Amino acid sequence: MEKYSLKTGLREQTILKDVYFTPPFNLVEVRENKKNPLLEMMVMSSSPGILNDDFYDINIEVIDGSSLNLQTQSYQRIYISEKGTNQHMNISVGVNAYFSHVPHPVVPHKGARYTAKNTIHIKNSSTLLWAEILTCGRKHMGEGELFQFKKHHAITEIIQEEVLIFKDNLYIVPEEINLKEFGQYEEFTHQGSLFFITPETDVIERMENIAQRLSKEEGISYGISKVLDNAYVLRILGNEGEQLYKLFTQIRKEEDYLINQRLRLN
Amino acid sequence: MNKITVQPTALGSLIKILHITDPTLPIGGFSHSNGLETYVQQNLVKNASSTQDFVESMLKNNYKFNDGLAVKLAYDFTLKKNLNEILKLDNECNALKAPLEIREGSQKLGIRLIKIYAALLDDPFLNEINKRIEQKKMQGHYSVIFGIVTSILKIDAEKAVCAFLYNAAVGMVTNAVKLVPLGQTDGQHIIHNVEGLIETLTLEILELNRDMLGVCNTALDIKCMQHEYLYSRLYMS
Repeated sequence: MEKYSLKTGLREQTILKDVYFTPPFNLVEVRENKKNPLLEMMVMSSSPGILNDDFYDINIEVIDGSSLNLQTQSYQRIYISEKGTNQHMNISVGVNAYFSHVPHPVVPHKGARYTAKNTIHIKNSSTLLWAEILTCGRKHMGEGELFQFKKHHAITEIIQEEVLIFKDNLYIVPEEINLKEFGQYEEFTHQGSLFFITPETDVIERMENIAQRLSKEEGISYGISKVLDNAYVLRILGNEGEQLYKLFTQIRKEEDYLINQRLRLN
Repeated sequence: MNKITVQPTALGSLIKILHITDPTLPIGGFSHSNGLETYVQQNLVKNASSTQDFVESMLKNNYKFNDGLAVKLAYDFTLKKNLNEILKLDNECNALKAPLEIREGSQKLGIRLIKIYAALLDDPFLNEINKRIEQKKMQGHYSVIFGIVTSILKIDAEKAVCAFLYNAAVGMVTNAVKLVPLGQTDGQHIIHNVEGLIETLTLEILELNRDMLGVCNTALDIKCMQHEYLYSRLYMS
């Protein structure tokens, strides 16, 4: 089992309190402005991707009042596997705490089998920005490796004070499902979802800004909708991982900026 | 109010299936297009052939893993009188429906359905569920209430699921006939053409793993979200 875990601490800014990792992982602090309250961490890996039988076990604790952004270093490749690869990610975000995570797109190679379970516990006063992007595979390699993977099953649950408020069940088995059908991928090859919740009273202004920006973007189809008065889900279909990653990262950076501003004022 | 004239006997469950799937049951199903209106406005569903493709894909990719499976699970939990599991399932249905209009539509239909059957049946378990909804401790999603009611009515599980899928297919076709528009005969052809698929899916749903509840239909979710922003709308979803 391959593991990493981290726990934040709080002084005048968020600090890294506890960190633990086994190969291939390494966790490094990448906070550019050392005075920022928001702790920015990057997960690095010495492995080219998730290999056969890998089981990633990830635990993150963002303690009360602290704020963390977790970044990835590169696209997450999932290699061919017979038995399948797994990832379990458990996150807890405390009272008045902040967590943002927009990982690079996942690239399942031909023959890849992947199962993921992400469980995120938050409080009423937590802020969470969570995103996932799945590509069709190595589209630009040779003649193109599109949807040649075996299985991708990722379940994400967001639980607020013991109540499940959002669940995403992404199950793609290209041999079973014709992804071109109505309601699936239709004419696209990449998909991304972004969930955001804030203790503020509503998210309408944010949703309008995002919708306006996305309406100018070419080659995508998107929808944004309220999950709660103070939470939205954004879904995008597109044809380029980089484009979706940039769009999500921009939203993430705006929220990271806001939290830095707010914490500085306090 | 008058009393029951004669208690139904052998044909009882057939009559009960016909009643709960009757399109005239006043729960407001036909004010929801569940994304179809967006597909029609974007000229993606535009004739009988594309309508059938749409109906088929919705049945096998959406209803199978979402509402169809929820009916079956709610049906089973009701047999065991397991209120906790029902509450959990109803909440899970809520968490899985990301588009606002789909979530609210499913709640509205469910609440109207339980109002009708709570009044007709006066069943203790159903009354308990109804009380939770009134106390806002439960949302009352349509598929969950459908599963509970059909279980209480002692309709066979497979018939309950099959009836639910059939009702969903008829709903989509009725909306398509108005929206696309299609001829009435085209609509009937589509229903006829998907009958076999409905049977196959019914049997598959009975065997589905709980893990498969709520498998995401990304493009459908997007179209349902886009519906909120359509310039002119005939439907609530």
